[in-house]
Amino acid sequence: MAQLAKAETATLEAHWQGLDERPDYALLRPAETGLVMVRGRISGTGAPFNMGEITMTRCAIRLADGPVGFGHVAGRDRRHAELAAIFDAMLQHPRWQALNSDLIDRLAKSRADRRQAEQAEIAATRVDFFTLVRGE
Amino acid sequence: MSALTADGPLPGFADPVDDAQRIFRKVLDALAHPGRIVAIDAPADLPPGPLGRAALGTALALLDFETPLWLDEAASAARAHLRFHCNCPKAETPGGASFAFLGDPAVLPTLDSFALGTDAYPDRSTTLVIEVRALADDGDLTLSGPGIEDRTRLGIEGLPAGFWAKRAALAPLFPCGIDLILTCGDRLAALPRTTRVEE
Repeated sequence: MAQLAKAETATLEAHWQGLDERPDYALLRPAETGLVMVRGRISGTGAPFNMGEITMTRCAIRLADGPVGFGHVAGRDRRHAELAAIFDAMLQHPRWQALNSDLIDRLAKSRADRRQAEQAEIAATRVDFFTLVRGE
Repeated sequence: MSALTADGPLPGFADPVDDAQRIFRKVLDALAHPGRIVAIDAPADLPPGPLGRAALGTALALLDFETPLWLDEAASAARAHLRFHCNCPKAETPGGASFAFLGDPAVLPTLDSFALGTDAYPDRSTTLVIEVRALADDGDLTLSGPGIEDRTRLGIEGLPAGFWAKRAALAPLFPCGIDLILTCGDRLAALPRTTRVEE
């Protein structure tokens, strides 16, 4: 679900359009946009606090023969939420287990690559300060 | 898209805001005019079980996470559907419920097993939604009380014998009491606790 939520809509749409066979589905809860409170912890482990609200779009669908899929994505892209919900439901269906390798692994890899490229770009401008006593 | 298997949630209102507001208005109208039969036109998909469109529409419009729901045995097939759309908690006993939906009035629990409210908070009572066999404008029941100009008639089929006497026995407890919504397929009528019913 995280990979689907963080993927680009265009990537998901392309994969959906490229499928040989697309399942029938019904919208249980059409995509709708709202606010959710994001909570954080001080230094990652301390007391929880409310950081602020973000816009979120959610959608729930059900495949004709059973599984219910949910999509929750940050932002207002309704199609993204719907596609995420469809793929989430398909992943629970034995018929579409191949999606795990076809789509999810690819999404995970492209995200990791993107992240690495970003980190490399940032690392290039890193400055190490030499001091007698490091402030650690 | 209509080939969904029966168990589990089905699509709810096509237009959640407008449908819920329209049905809220109709239920309010029915409660303000006891005995008036109103028609409910949503939702399109109904889960299995005896509950009709009027009962399901009322549920989708009125239930939320603050209203514990009690379903009788016959109506329990709708639980997954209502839980999904309304997020309502399950009441373990009839007395813990804000709303009780009954698919089979023949095995109705006694009325005082539901919450009657308290003198300080009469609103904390259970609203009963009962699916009956038939509803008619001109039946053998005579209604009077607030919201009815003089008298009005209503016909209800499917309630157990002695039901109206048991309901009348709760009248002295006012402001406590139980509000009834009687549904039959796509139509419903309401009998708030203030309405007097004569057979």
